[in-house]
Amino acid sequence: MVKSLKYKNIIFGSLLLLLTIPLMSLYVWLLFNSINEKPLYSLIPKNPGFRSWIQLFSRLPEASGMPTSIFPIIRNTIIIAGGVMLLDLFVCSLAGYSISRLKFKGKDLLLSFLLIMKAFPLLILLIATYFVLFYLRLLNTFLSVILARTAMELVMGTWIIKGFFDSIPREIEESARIDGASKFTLWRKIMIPLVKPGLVAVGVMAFIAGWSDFIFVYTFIFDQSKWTLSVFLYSLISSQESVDYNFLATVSIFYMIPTLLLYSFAQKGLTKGTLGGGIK
Amino acid sequence: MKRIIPYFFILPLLLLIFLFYIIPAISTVYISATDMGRSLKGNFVGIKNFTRIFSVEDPVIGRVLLNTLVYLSGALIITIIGGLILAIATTTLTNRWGSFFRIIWFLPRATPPVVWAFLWIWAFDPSRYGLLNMIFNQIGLQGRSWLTLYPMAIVILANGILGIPYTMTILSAALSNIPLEILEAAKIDGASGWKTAVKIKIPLVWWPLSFLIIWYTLSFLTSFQYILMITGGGPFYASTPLALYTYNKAFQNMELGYGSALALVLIALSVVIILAFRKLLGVKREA
Repeated sequence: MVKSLKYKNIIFGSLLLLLTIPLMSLYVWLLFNSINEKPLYSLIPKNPGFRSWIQLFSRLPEASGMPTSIFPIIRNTIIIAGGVMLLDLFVCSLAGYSISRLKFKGKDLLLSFLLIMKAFPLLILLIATYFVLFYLRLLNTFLSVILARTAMELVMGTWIIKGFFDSIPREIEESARIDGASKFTLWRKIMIPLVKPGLVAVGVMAFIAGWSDFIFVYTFIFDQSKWTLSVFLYSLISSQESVDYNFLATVSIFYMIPTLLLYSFAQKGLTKGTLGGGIK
Repeated sequence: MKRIIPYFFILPLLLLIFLFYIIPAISTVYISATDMGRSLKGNFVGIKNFTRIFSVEDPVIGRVLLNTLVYLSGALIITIIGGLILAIATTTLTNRWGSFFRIIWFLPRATPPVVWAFLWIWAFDPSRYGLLNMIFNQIGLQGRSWLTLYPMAIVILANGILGIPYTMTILSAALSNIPLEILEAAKIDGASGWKTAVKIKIPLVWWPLSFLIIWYTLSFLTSFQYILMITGGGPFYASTPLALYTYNKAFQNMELGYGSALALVLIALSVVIILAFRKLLGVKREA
């Protein structure tokens, strides 16, 4: 019995290793290239150095039509990511509460509509969205990307926060209502603090979504001064001039770090939150 | 007053749904009946855009539809089979090693889309700095320009693998919920590891599995951004499925009218797929 278990572990372990090595080598290779002076043509970095990291934070490599400093690009990316996070939290915490706790006409219709929305990716409506944004005079603004991204994220966020509200015992609310609190005070002062883990998880996911967005920025934004890291990196990749692979790798790693950190953080918060809700 | 309050809470959500789902959905129908171009003003042309799709007027549409089928089935097979293999393997291993591999396989999901696309462009770069060419050179083979030789295979791989983290997570959660007694009983009856996987584990996770199949069919049908970044659809439409064709028609050629007609075809296809799956899975669940 023990022997067969060991045997099984070896087989599945080596199968996993076989599948995982190619994936890992992509990332390791990206990392090694970012800390090497010259593009790698073997798997070992032969001239290690931080040239491209220094370039990233001082003066970007010369290339025609490319920005010269990374800082405005980082700022733009943060504006969009932060905007999506705040708007998504605002919309989802209100909607999640009302779906979980309040009665209103058309609630069932709204719930089934949310499900349908989840099944149809927003990208299918991209052309018409462009058209709508044009008439709202919102093309080429950060707001266009923030609104569109939030619209894409809000179904998930509303569902998660609704779940958190569901797990709060009704007695808490009842006692506050007897004390004469209005619905808004109740929501803001009592309910919101209780679903904090849910808000953190949804907020982090929304931030990551805004941070990583490519297609909306690429389609709705025309000015280079409003570029984000994604469009900047894409322009470097697709530029006709000779490509500095070390620098590309550095931008990629730099761009990835926040999403990796936040993902591990959100993952923990989400399991903790749902577990906490279950215990109560 | 009391009756109105709930609507205040739901208002921001309704506003965004209205602006980004309902109005665009109606506008898509409207734009598809016009010859709208760069100016965003169009004349009514009736069903001309649709006759253009379904006639020989658009010479590449046949190729694009075939690409869609190849891309969709290729990426779906990688996502589902890959996720299933990883889920079975990581849940069979000891807990520590299982979660180690699951964390690594979550990386693609945590990678921004542009970086993910870049990894693939670079891996198949035609120069000696491309990962695959580097390996080829080291074992004494000639490098190739992979992206022009096998564009479709590469975009299938890049999109298919990106689906694995999610499939793996859901399926391994489902697999760990299978009662141990069932697996013990199978073992006592002398079922081999392979037989347990096919005859017991897969049927028991059939529901999440079918959900993932529908989910990724719809998602691959309508996703195009990775292909846009990796090959741009080329060389000469070789890796252009319908969703990317729609995007390129609308935003590269600025033919918004024709693009919207193509988008409606995509929506119709999605509806057909949902209905077909519902029927298929409904029958399965009764059995």
